Amino acid sequence: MIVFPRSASEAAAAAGIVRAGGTDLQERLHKGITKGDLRDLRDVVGMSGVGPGPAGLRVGARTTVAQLAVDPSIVRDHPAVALAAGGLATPQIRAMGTVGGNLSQHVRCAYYRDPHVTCLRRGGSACLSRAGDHMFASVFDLGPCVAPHPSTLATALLTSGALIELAGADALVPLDQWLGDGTSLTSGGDDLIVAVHLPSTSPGQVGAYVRTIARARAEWPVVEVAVRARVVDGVVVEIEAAMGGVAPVPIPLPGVADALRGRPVDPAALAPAAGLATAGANPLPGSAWKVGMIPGTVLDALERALLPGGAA
Amino acid sequence: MPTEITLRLQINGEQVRRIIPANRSLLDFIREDLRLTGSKHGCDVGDCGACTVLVDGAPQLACITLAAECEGAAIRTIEGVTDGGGLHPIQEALHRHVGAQCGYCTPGIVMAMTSLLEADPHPSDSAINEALGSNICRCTGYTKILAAVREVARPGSPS
Repeated sequence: MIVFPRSASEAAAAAGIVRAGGTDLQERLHKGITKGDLRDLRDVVGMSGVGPGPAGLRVGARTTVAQLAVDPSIVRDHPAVALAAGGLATPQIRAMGTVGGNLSQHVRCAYYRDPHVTCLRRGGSACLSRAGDHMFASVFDLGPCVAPHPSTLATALLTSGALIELAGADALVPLDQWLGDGTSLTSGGDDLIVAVHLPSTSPGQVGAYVRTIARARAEWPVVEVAVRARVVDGVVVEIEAAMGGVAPVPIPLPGVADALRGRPVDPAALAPAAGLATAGANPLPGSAWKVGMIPGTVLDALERALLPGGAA
Repeated sequence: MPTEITLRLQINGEQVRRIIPANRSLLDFIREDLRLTGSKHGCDVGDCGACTVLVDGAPQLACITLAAECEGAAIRTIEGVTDGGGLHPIQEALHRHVGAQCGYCTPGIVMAMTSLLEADPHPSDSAINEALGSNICRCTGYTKILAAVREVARPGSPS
């Protein structure tokens, strides 16, 4: 059963599983791991596109990932977000998938997606990946489920201090608060996201997004890193970095950013700073190899963001 | 909540009106209701591109598209890739270059390349690679497919 509400308030009042682009939901419905009525956002007015908002820019939750990647204001003010949007999944998924859906998608763990087993996240008593195959699992083992958070956009949006507009909520919710700290199974849940807000930025933003993947394209990241920075007269005056694919939530990298902020851009300083990204890693036996992928991925992103001409 | 909807859309130039289950995928609608079986069930989760059809000219993964989302849209499937029933230049080039081996991915690739070439008759290699980025072929290693597309995109130049 399906309903097509025509406004965000109608959608909030309706019952059923929220459907936007459907790129994740249709798979879960096919496999039978998600069941129930649908409230399809197809006809909701005012949930698509990028425009001015109270914090800076307002990105409607039904804006597609492909639209986000090429929006001039996003490219100019939040280049890491645009690069991340243009670098995830496949062209057709980017054309269908939405910003709200990318943030709300469920984990890609093979056990979670297997209708023949019941993992912890689907009501079972244990995380099956923790005791089983966890080659691509978290390396920051923060909570009961070891599946990495699947949202590339969340990783990039963290570097921009994004805020989430939820249906029925009076105040915007900081993205990191909405994502949680990864220590519980809830991470954003199935809230109805109306929009994502991006704070205004100073002119001269630079950014980078790098994912380490097992093939040339169309693969879930082993590690992904976003960097947002501003360099004035050769000095890094602003820098934020975040990493995905390695923990139940995308994690900010304050140690990396602090090591570079306020200092002249020094190519020799980037590798030591990138090495700080592994601090606190407590991988599972099978995912320990991913720790070794982190410094190089962070370094690549730092070089692309900070060095003229990008990575060496 | 409605369990069935009335869907009106255009398939390969013909107007179609059907009452369908509200949760019917576009691929199931095309294959099972309309019996147009050229579009393939591959992964069924949007990963492989074998189900690619054109929705208002743009390639789209029919397996993860709700038919209900396509109300009023113009759909082209592999059966309608040419008007007269002959082969499309992309199909002819794939045949010449043996760009189809098992052939299961081929309808999706033809539709993706048709959309690309209709938007840009002479795409760059990077544009071709990007447009093929949603289609997985397990047989050819892509070399023959790329040679075929390049031949159509840049006649006379080395493929």
